[in-house]
Amino acid sequence: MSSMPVLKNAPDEGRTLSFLSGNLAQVDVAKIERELNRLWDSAGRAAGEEDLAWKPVIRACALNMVLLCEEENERKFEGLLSEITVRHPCRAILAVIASAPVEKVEAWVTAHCHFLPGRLDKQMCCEQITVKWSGTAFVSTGLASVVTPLVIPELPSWLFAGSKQLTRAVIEPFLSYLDHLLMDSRISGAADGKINKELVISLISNLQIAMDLAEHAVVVDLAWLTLSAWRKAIALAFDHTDVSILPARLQAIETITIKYGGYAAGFSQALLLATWLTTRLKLRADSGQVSQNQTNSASKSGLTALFKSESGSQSVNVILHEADNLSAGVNSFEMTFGDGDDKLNVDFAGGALKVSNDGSEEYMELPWSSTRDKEGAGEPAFTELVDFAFEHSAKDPIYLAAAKGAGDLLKLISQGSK
Amino acid sequence: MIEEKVLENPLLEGLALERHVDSLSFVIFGAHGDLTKRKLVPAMYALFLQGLLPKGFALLGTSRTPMTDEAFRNLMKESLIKFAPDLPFEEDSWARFASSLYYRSTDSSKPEGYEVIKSTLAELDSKHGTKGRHIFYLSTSPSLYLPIIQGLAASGMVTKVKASEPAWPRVVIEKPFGHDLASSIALDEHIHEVMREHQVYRIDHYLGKETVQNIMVFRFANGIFEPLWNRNHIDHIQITNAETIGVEGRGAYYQEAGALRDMIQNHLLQLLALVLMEPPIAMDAEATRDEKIKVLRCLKPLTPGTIDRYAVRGQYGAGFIVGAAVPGFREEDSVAPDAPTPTFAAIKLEVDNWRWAGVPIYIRSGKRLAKSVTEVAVHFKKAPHRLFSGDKCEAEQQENILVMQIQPEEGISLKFATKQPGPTTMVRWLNMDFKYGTAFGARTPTAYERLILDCLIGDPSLFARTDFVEASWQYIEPLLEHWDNQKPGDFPNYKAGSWGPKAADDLIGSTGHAWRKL
Repeated sequence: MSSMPVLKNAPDEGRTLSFLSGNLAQVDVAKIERELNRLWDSAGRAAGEEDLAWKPVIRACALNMVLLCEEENERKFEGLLSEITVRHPCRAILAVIASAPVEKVEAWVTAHCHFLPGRLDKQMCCEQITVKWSGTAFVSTGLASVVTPLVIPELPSWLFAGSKQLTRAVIEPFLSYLDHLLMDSRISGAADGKINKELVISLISNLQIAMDLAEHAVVVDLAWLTLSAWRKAIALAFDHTDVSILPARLQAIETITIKYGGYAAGFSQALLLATWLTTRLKLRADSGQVSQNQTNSASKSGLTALFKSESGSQSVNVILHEADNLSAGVNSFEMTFGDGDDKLNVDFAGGALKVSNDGSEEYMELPWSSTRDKEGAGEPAFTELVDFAFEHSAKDPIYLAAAKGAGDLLKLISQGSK
Repeated sequence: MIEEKVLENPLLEGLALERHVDSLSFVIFGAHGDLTKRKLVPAMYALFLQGLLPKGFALLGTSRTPMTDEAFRNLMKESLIKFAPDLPFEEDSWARFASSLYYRSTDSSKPEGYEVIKSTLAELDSKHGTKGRHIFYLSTSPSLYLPIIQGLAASGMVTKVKASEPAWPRVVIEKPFGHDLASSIALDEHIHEVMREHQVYRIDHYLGKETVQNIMVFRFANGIFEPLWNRNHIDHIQITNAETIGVEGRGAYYQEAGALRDMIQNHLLQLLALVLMEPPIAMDAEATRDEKIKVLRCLKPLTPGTIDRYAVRGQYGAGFIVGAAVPGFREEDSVAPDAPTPTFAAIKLEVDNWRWAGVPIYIRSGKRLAKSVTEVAVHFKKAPHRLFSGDKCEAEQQENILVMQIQPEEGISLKFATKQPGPTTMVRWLNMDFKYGTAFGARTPTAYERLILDCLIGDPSLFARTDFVEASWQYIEPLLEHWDNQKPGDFPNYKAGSWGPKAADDLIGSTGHAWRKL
């Protein structure tokens, strides 16, 4: 055998180090995969060499995560991806919508590297691809045509709709390749707390998108996930293992009062919690109105509604009430019954949910480590909520029913206010 | 009844409710010991934070050491912070958990001690609504298992229920389950005088490890491996448990136990059963354990005439572990200078059944070896026809190997051949690796978390059943007797930091195999 010269791509150490350090390297849109392979190849080849500027790396990927957002939120979502990849190794694709006079598509690649727990000799790295679409009018199919071929087949794939343009037309082109949609139906309004007609329409639209797109993908709504501890606490109060109100008394509920903070976003959550209960109890919205109360300090919004059972035998008043000095999201829950003077209350106490009824009290630890033992704070950190979302891999008909219930009530209110 | 109530409450639908645990009191004997501090209470606290403990719950610790409830709570809090740094510790949550912790100083050799426990449990039943459901965890020296169980029975705290009745009360015992076959049978006979088998939970923490549980998933949830999992495709299997540590202050215990009793009789035979068993008919406790016991019953018995060809023992002498000089076993604290204890054992096992006939299974376990690693390596048969040969082909002498790594890094790897890029056909062998730590970023529950939760629920799937324990002793017994009778003349026969005695290499080499270089 004649000796052959070793053909070796001299690794571009500087470029590889920059890549592994989290710096964005611009690449040709048509050659994203090739460039990534070259960089990983370089990182891997050099791993056995001495005097390296980086520690050996493991390229890890257990899912695809496409994050759609506007340019102004690009940094925020990059930070989110950096944190998510610690716990969920993935191929992260940041699809950015930018306004520019000239239409163009650009791409960058980088890596998020973390030392493995307890080891300083090895790093786990996930790749991030940023694809930016710039133009005067956003064309979703254009951006999707770059992004969707980058999705690694046979792995779970998630689209996080972080864009303000939460419309079916924007989302749908991506969903033909992705099987989970992560969205947030919460609306954000003015700090005056007023729930105006535009916000109501916006919330109806968000909920409708969730229901429509549930045909194509598993829809996970972050607003809904924030309610999981509340739902569990309320449900278990009627279970024999907990506060133990007889389940039959669900038919005797008279009023449901939910206090919330966080303005319009909190309103969205309180409404979903209320309609979760009414849909589980098979109650339909009969009437309702958005309310405005003037307090000493500010104008506070809320909602009152009447729900009735099919037979008309049960009527339940639902009151959503924004209160002073409350932290974001649902803050307290109260239920009264027509067959007794007792009440079911769920409140924050000592960083847990305190469930009380008729002198009996139980505590339920919150599932969020980011809020544990933080007095008055029940909303998890955003990254923890997204972590939690990844545990949801199946369609959730209970959520869809609650979303429909909320949408129906808002439509009723909207029609009544015309 | 529970099912009916759940259906009555429409609010429960769609909630990710965890497995149901009835209200109960959990009593730990040996509550001042290391296991309680390092494993049991941290596991309980982790379950509490996940909402997996019932609302009606109390934990009663007991040991000889005098201590108040408050002192016990403080001790457990300090231990938790020290030994479970991955758990989020917060004062308010801890305070809620700690309010269910109690302690009573008792002497388990005296009846008065059991009266104290009994009256305390009655108080806790009333205070926490634990409804007379009690679990007794014996985190004590094995010599106390029987006296404690008999004391509990004499005081009426442990009663034998019918096989069809719910398993209350329950008793959890740690390995070793006996010192040999006779003592194991005697222990079980005494236990069964006062309790049914379904009330006894023999804990083997290996079975709580995620990777060990994954062996079943890997084998039976993937369609591609099971057809290959037999004598037609598998050449041999190696199960290795190597530790760099020595006896770590447990010299007196280890001198009596040795490698066979400490690791092989329990942990490694459990692993072996999981790897070799037939698919169970259902994923319930008895179906799985039925299949596991069949494996042990198929093991070809060792006889005095065959032992020297099938088993090797070793004991470490002084050497170096990761650059540090370490003493030999006989120089360790509380170890006799002429101790004949094997700190290393290797066995060639043969399984006389349809699936595994002719496939040798090699097990080795040792202390003060070069590296800490536990794994199961399945060596497939070589390709029947060697198409690729010559100087440039590594194909010779190589085969596909599927490795299930248990520790330190949990994962699975498959070794396979591939063509090296180039103008000639050069075969290179590579590993395709999967690591749990990189694929699943979420915190992995400890083995004790899983096993304690299963015990609270009443699911004994991951606990050793009496027939398995007996069969494992039955297999090991001839070896124990033979080695007891034939004192080793060459101990120490391997250096600390090596891979064991040369005889172990000869053992596997006799069939043309070699231990994996780990």
